[in-house]
Amino acid sequence: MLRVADIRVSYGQAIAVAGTGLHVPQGGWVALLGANGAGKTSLARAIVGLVRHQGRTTLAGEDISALPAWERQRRGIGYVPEGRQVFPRMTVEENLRVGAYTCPDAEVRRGLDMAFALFPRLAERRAQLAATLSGGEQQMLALARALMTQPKLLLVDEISWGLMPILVTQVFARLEELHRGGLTILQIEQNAREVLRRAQHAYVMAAGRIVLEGPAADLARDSRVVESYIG
Amino acid sequence: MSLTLFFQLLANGLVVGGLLGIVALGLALIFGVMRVVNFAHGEFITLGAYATYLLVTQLGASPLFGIPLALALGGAIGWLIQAGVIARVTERPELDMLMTTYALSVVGLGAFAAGFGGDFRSYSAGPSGSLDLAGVVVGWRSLTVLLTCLVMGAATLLLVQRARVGLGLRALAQNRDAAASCGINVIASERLAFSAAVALAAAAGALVSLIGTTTPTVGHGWVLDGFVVVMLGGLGSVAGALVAAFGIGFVQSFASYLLDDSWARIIIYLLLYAAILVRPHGLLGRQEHA
Ligand SMILES: Nc1ncnc2c1ncn2[C@@H]1O[C@H](COP(=O)(O)OP(=O)(O)O)[C@@H](O)[C@H]1O
Ligand SMILES: [Mg+2]
Repeated sequence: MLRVADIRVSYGQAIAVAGTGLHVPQGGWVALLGANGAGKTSLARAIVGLVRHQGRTTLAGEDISALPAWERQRRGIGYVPEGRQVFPRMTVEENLRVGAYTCPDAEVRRGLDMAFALFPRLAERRAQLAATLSGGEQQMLALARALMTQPKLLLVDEISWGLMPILVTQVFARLEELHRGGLTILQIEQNAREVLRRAQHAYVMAAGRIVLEGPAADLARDSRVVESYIG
Repeated sequence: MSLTLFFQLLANGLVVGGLLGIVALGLALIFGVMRVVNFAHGEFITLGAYATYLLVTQLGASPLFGIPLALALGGAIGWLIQAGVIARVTERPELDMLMTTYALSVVGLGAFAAGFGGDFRSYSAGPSGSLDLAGVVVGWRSLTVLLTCLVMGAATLLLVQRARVGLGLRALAQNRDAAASCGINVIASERLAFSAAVALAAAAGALVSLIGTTTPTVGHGWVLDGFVVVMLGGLGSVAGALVAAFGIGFVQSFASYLLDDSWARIIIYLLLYAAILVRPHGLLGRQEHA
């Protein structure tokens, strides 16, 4: 589904991603782990086309390396960015409508119905400004917004960060439902224990490169992973 | 002051306020969407004024046709300038952009001065006469200006608040990256916002030529007050901008009658400074919640 290779991202002199790649199979759930500053977010931003980078990205067999972010989204990448990034001075419903910006009206309706069914909390708050939502609600909104166009691939960056344990469980439950429904997921996550329990495959990133990869179940038992990310 | 005079000045203030509102709307659109302070906005006003002047004097057309002409011309030129000049500088430090729009302004001023000289240009064609409302005399020209401003302002706000393209512009203004990853072509949207704002400025220029004289610097004065309106009203607050536009219009109208025009300027800019002092987040800043 998604194949990226030789990705390089630098900010001035500082190299954030030093020529690396990964593969997410159709229908798969792939985890990307790594310490703070390893370059995970920069790699994600390269994949969705939000940062200047070198390297090749193919989505469902199509080379999208030269495409800007909005074209990549239109080809089926849904992105839940680190730090939520909802539109603060828009209502919940408007945020979702922006998520469906490229959809015909009928699909916007269907998308809203689906989002409110998946997250009843958002339905209760549909007319509320996003800035006034709690952190957990904003995270739900960012996820629902990315799902409005029914993407082929969902890229989520630190979705559980800062959430209470009960909300973390809820977010993972939603992702499980979506995955069962056929969604392909690439998940950047600090909570290695939770994500390795659900993903099939995992990559570990350090200093801008993938340094370890394998079946998620194996990595969950790997002493290096356990020491660094599970503890 | 007699009641009739009071209403007369009020009516003048409404006309000035309407024009300022249109100018400020464009400035706010450009700043909100692109974070660009467009110093060249005044030259687009001047462009609309001269275009209308030429239409009337060379082709003998009614100046009312100057309004759609200025809208089309401004839209096209705004599109070209955004694509050819502004877009090349968007990823550079802010000062580069400031100097770019400033340079555009000076180039525009120079071009108008070279092409038309410093003469005061005006025409007599178009709506004439006035409406006498219980002693308050309002010229048809002034009324045309006010009505056109109200229609253009309402149409723009409706587009921004209700239409899908406006939803995209607001998303872009609040978070460019998030907008792009929602499928919004942010480059085309920025071009659209700039082009629409320039079209509004040029249309305001067409109206300015209807009620006054056209010189190479005619747009300059309007745009300075336009900045004051944007700053006083605050970005993103339609109500604030309306109050500021008509407030400045009334100050202009009353102060220039009771004192004189220089005093009107002084008062407006003292008000601006007072606003700077009372706004802890800065004039163009606003509180970010998320
Ligand atoms: N916008 C930026 N400008 C400069 N340096 C950045 C920027 N974003 C990230 N970095 C740097 O790039 C490196 C990788 O960061 P990031 O991709 O956010 O890693 P991670 O998501 O794994 O924590 C870090 O050293 C970080 O400081
Ligand atoms: Mg990160």
